[in-house]
Amino acid sequence: MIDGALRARVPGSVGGAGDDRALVERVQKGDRDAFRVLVERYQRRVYSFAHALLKNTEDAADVTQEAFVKAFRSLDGFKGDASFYTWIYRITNNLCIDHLRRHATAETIEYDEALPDEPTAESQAGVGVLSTRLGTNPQRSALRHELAEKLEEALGRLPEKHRAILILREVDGLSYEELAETLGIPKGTVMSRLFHARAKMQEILAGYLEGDAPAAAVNEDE
Amino acid sequence: MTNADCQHARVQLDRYRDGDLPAAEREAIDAHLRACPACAAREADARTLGALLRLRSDAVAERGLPADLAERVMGALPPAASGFWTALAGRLRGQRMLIVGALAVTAVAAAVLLPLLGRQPRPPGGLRLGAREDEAHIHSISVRSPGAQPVVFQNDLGQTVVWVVPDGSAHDAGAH
Repeated sequence: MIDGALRARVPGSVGGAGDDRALVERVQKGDRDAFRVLVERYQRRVYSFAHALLKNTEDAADVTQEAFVKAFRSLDGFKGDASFYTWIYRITNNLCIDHLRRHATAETIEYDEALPDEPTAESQAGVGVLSTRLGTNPQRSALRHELAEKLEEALGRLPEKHRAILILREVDGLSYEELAETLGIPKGTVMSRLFHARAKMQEILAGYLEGDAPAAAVNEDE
Repeated sequence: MTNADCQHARVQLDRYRDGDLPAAEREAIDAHLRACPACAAREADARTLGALLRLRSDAVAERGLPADLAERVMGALPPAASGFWTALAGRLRGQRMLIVGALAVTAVAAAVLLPLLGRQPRPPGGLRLGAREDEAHIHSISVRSPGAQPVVFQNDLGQTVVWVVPDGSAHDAGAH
């Protein structure tokens, strides 16, 4: 039910790939206002994606800004055979990976080896907002808060490559081909990586979802 | 319903949900989900997980995205080039063949015209003979051999050459 209401948020539905291409051409001819339109169109998604990888508000804002500036500087080399949104996601993903390497933290530990994170003020605040969005029935408030907390924990336990693909697929609606292009991996790896990411999330959230946790049936071919 | 059916369906559920399955396989998964409550519940969970992640994403952006991010981005862009050069670059963008062709024409024109530009102006009514160091200007040519005619032309180096061609054999020509 919730799912159906939100499924329309595929990237192309914002302004359309053709519209993006026209804006990019205007920017290439020196029209900065056209670039502002692109920034305003994609800043929320880029920020959310960066936040899912970095788990930090300020870092996500900094990387979002850096990604758009880098995109602008490289726009001369941008070819029309790729869509602007897969391109900006790829830049953001690379910047996040660089950032995480520079500031190596527990978040880079593979989830199989990681212990559950201690809740931080940052994650607690995010949990509060999300649990409010899940509904207003006071009788279920505790359960909502717990679910939101578990969701943060589950995301935090995924390695960044699984977090990235999960967000780009589930939130931004990228197709397998677009995921392969954005992340620079073969389509087969896209499928296996997605499978493992979803399986791990469902496993951690098993008590809050109706079905049983899926068993890993596909070996990740990476 | 066999374990093998469920195993197959569960491997395919991601592609089913992501719209990556051919129609025939999609119909087979549809049929399996109608008949198998366990797989149907698993599919419902996966869809719920997607919905939760989207809600989370909205919440994160609503709470943390700086209101002035677009302004910050625009302020951090490199300074704009002058209007003329930007407009020129914009007009020429994507016209690589035109640019290459123009450069080629310019190069050929330079190869032809530059040697000519280095030459001294020809005096009115006269001709220039010889190389730079020993060139001389002549104003008239007289041919002593009867019936012979002077032939004046310019060679590839831009030099003026005088040949005297009387009846198929060359003779000396005196120049003044």
